[in-house]
Amino acid sequence: MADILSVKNVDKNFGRTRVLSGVSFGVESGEAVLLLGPNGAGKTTIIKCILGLLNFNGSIMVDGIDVKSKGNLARAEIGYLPQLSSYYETLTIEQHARLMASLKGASRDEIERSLEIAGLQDVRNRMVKALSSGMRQRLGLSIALLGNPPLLILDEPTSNIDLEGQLEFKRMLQRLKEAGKAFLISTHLSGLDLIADEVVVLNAGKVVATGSSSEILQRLGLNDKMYLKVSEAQVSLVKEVANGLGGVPEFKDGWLVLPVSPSNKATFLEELLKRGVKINDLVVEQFSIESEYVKLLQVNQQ
Amino acid sequence: MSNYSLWTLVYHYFKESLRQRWLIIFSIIFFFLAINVPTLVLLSANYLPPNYLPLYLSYLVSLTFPYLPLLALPMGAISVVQEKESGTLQYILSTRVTRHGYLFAKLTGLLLATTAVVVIGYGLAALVAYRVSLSHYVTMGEIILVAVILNAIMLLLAMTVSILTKRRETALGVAIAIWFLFAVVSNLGQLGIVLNTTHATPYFILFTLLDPTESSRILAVIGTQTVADILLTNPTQLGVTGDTIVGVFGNQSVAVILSTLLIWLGTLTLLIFLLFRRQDAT
Repeated sequence: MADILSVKNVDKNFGRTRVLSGVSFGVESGEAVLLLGPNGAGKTTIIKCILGLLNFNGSIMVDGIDVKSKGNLARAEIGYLPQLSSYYETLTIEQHARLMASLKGASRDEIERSLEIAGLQDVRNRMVKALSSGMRQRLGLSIALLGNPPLLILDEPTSNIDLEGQLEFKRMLQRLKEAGKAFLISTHLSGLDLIADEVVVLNAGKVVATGSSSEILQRLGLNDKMYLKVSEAQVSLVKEVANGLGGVPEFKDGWLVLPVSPSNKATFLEELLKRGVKINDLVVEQFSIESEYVKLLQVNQQ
Repeated sequence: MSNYSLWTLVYHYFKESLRQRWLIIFSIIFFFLAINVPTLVLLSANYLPPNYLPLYLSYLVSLTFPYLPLLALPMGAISVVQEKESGTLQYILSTRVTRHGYLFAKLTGLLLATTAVVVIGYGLAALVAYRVSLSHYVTMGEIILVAVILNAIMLLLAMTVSILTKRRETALGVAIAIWFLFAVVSNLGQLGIVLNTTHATPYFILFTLLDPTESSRILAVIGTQTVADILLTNPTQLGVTGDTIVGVFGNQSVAVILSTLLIWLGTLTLLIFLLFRRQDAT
């Protein structure tokens, strides 16, 4: 599949400080890429480079359009949700949407559709300054969707909203992903890894790892853990199956603990059931790339 | 970026400018300053002689012109930096809007709003004053034109500050310092040149022409009457600076001052577009 976004060898300095160094990655059409990294890793800076807000060395292409020479055309392919949703506070939701729609060349119908997707059609006359963080974020998303851009860039989209708002936001993104939108999502802890196809880990302005979240977790030796309760008579059978799949089980507080890779979980259970193992209880502990990538940074530093 | 998008943005910034408290406060003060209430009351009640009008106009110009920059300087100074700080600049520039388009819209919106205040302020003065004599409408038009040029120069100067600064407070401080420089320090400098320099005239003229507030005041005063009339009736209206310029350039004074003001306009316009194009928008 063709890259909707291609970032190649991007360097950026602020004065004498190098904030991005040889950053390269891509986002394919319909793909969700998570840009992970601690504060100050360069996530927002690379996004600003993609949007042409910052000057940089290297090459960035959006849908084959060079950001440096045809920035405005490249940006027409992008819907952007900034980290701090900044609006003209004296406008209403609808006035804001209309202003941005005219700048993005979107029709009146599209305004209605994007307000509906973001669930803002009933509060369209509310002043922006009176909106809660969650509603501001939804307004940001509805504006990002104007003009039907194939690529959405979301900078820390869930950082300012409560848990309920985060869950609602994730559902919205999931629906958009199913509708074929490509995403570049910058985050350091959002729970959005579940919708990501690829993860790019940034640290101190450099890409330190790329791949799917399960690949990166495996690289770190971080498998999911399955906690099983089976009859004593069947323990040896379970161990045999686990060994066959490359896992080494151990006993812990009456539970049989099995490290399994995310892709092996279903296979492992199928095999146990096929061999007639009766599972009395089952708990799965999943590692999340968002919580574990810090280990990757430590490994990298060593 | 389409023309429709561009003019939508111009209209947006025009409305935003009209909502600014400073514009409203200044409009009220300027209105009373421009119509110079007591004089006009006396004038319309025929308590002042008819030939008082040209003199009144030149005093009006000298009274109001030094304060005119106080409209555009603060508004222009916060224009871009405020949007940098709040993040709306990045938001606007993340769409198809080009940097030049943004700056054009911002400048035009502000220019329209501030020009409206200047035109309405002096225009109302004209309406009241020229119950006495309709023939002076042209003169008032000339004064308004010079005031609009001065306002545009100050706006461009302030926007240069706004582009170069990172904090709103810094930009406002620099803007006020610029007004102080042109309204007070410049006069002291001119005085210093006269008192301390042998063959002071060329420096004195240069110094005056480099001060758009003073040079536009002189231009507007000349606009109220012919140079010959001013020199004949009341040369003090021009002040020492105007007197020197008229003494050297004679009837060419208008062309010289106007050219200088247009150079200011052209240079500053070019400068803000160049600076903004090269800068990180953050």
